[in-house]
Amino acid sequence: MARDATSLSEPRDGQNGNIQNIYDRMEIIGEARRALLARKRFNVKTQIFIANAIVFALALGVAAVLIASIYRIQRRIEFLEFANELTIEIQQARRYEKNFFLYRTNLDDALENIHAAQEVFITNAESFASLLGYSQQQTVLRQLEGYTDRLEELQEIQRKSPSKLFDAVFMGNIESQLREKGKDIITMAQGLMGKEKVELTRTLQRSIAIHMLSLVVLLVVLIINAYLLGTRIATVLTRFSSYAQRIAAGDFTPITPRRHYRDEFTELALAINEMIKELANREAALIQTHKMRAIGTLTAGVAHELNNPMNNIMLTAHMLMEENAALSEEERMSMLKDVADETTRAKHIIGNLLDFARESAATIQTLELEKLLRDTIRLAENQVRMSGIKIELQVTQSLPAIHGDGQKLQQVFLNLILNAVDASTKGSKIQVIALPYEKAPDHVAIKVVDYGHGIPRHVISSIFDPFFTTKAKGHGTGLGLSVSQGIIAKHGGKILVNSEEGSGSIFTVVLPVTTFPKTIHTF
Amino acid sequence: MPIIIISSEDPAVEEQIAARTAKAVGFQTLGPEVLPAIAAKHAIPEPKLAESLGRTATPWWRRQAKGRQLSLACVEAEVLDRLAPDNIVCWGLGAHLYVLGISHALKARLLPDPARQIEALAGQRGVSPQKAGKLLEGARLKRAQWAQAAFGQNEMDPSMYDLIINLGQIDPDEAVGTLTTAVGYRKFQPMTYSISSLADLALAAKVKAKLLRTMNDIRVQARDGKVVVTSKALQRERRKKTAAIKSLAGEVPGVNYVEVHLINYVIRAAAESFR
Amino acid sequence: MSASLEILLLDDEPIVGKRLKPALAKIGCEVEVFQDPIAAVARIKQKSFDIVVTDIRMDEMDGMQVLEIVREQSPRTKVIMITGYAMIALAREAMEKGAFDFIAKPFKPDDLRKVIAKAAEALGSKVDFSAANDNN
Repeated sequence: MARDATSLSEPRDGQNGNIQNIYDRMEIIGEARRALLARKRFNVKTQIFIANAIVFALALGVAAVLIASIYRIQRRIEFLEFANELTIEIQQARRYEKNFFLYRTNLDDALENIHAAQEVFITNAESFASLLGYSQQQTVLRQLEGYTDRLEELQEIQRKSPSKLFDAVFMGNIESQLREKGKDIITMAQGLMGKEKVELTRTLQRSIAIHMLSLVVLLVVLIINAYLLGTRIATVLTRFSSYAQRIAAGDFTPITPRRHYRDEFTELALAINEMIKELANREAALIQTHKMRAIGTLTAGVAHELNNPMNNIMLTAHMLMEENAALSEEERMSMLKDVADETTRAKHIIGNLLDFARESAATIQTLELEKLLRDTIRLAENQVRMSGIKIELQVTQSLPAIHGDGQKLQQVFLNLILNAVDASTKGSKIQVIALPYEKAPDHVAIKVVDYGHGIPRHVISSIFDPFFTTKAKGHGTGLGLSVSQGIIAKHGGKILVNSEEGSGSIFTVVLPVTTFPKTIHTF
Repeated sequence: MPIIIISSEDPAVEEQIAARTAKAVGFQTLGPEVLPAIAAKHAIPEPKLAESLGRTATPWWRRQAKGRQLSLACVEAEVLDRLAPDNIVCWGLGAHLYVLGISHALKARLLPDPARQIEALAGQRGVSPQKAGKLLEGARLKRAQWAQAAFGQNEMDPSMYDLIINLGQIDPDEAVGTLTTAVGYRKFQPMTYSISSLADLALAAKVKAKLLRTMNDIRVQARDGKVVVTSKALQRERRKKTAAIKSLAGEVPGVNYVEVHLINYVIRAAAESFR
Repeated sequence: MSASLEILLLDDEPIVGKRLKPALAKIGCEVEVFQDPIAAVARIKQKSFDIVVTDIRMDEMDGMQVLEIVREQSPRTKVIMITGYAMIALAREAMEKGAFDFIAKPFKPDDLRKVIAKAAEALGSKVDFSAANDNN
């Protein structure tokens, strides 16, 4: 039957072929697995770790800069203190110097102070060398020495020839010289302090700026990090929810790589692929189970129908045995021919069913609707006749061919016909009509019409649900329509129902006329 | 004339109604009194037969399927043989579970009067009526389980019977009257088809009883002297088993052709092929 | 041998009539064979047969209807049903509607002969059964 069309079958589109046999599917899933695993690994965990490391390094840098700046501020303050001390000592020395000129007091105190100043400067000069600069250091030192020399000179005079102290001209000269030097030193020391104060303020301001800036940078880094991590997880989650939706809709194409690296979600994708495999297996098993049930139903009819040729053979054989001697050669031959013919008839009765029962690999091929429907009706014929029902087939001329899995489609039509038989009363008829679908171009509609009891309005919405049945316990699995709808959906079609209680039902199978089996879901 | 098969959960009710109906229509009765003869013929201890028929409680440690299947097959074969002459009222032999598809067998189920049942049991055992009710419920459940295990039939399914009489509402006299009337319906008249179907059942049961002596997992169908035996076998023992079945079944009188179908552990094979 | 039994045989399988006509003729029956139930019923309305043998499942008319018509037309006629669709419900229905016997296909010519002999006995005539097995 459907096998005759093998030569016409189109090459199958491996990527989009939605109906694949189970082994093909396993191979595809294995391929997807290899592709998923072939990529370089870049875990979400790694990304989080790297981001945290960057933030930490940044914080470390900021802290180092701040510590350095605090250290510098501390140095400035120390220097300021030193400059202050220097100034105080020098001012003290100058106070004594003034006293000397006014009251001719001793110069020892002044010298002591200036020596102290010199000592302060020399002990600290080393540590502040960087702040002070070498030339300035030398200038300060020279000025201090100059002043000290003058003071010592004056002390020498006071000790050796005190008379000279009263020489007004001489003294005036020395005084002005000393004052000059003294003023220079003070100015220098105060200059040092002033400059240092400015420096300190600037350093403090810079420190504040660093604080602010590092906060801003940290904020930016954190935002970028959150964005990267967030989009990475969110896109994957969106993708997976779309996978879940399409799997729920019956598309069992495995998940294939979408990025250049693999991570924790790859494991999830692998797990989902395993699940898809399992689901596909279950679906195949379900379709098979349902088919076996249909075969069971048909077998009862076939067994009864077989009784007719068997009876003919039995009667003929017995009459041959009884009458052997009395029969003419011609009569004998005619009877033997009857036996042979009836055997062939018996074989045909079983043959159809056997063909349908044979488990063949799912193949997508060009199908002639009329032949397919005729074969299906022949399968159901015994059942139909046993119920005292007539069945009619009307196919619009030159209907375009469809593509699909002939055996599975036959299962669907058989199911619809057997349902119609169950719904019909003795003496009524069933019509099977194939015609172009009026509501969409490039589609054909196959209608199975019965004039039976119809479907009550309140159950019509649930007739495609799995395990829904109106038949008595043990007479229906409630899987027929659910399985049928699944099969038709995979062919890119749909099943519509139109029923009126008491006057009958119309089940319409709409199938696309396409060169290649159209996938219902495209991603 | 037809066969009447009476069943009830209460053997006393079965016996009483069977005896009275037989008297009313002039039939013979066929009941557990034949068990000793069957036991002797098949060399099975009589208590074991009674036990496998669910007439006495089976301790759980003795519930071996094989022994029971053999006992049941022997009873089935003998009872079916004795039903062939018809005009018989049969009770207490589980016939309602294996006389299937015989149009001239009228199957009646008698629902005992629960009040009287409880009263009788309470008096007999000296327990409270509540306790007696519970015991009865338990016994009912056990019987249903037995029927399921022994013959794969749901005894509680009303569609198994042609007539169900509730003795809580219908007096025994009326029940006997109903049975007498019903058995007179033309549809219960024996005919070539139903008589040959009964003979087929009897022959199948005989073959099954014979085969179960040495093997288990045996299903037998017969039609007009031709027998189909279905069993399970491993690939390597197929040839041997087929030969054994053919020669054993061929020894049964009335068998003129034997066909053997050996199933090769379908489930496991299917499970493996799916991998 | 008394007057021969008049039998109408109806089955939409031509071979059944072809084989059974000589088989029954051997035991002294006069057999009219029909494949079309409508024609058979027309004939039944013309003539009262001793025995009607009919198939049940036929396209134009059901054997049960034929049975009812025969019972109505000629109550003395014995109707024997032969069918490949033998089931307990169908058998009981046939008996209830007054069939004399019910035989499941496939059957041997002798099976039918036995039933016919039984029917003849019930009709009060005798069938020469021995003639059938002369050649065996």
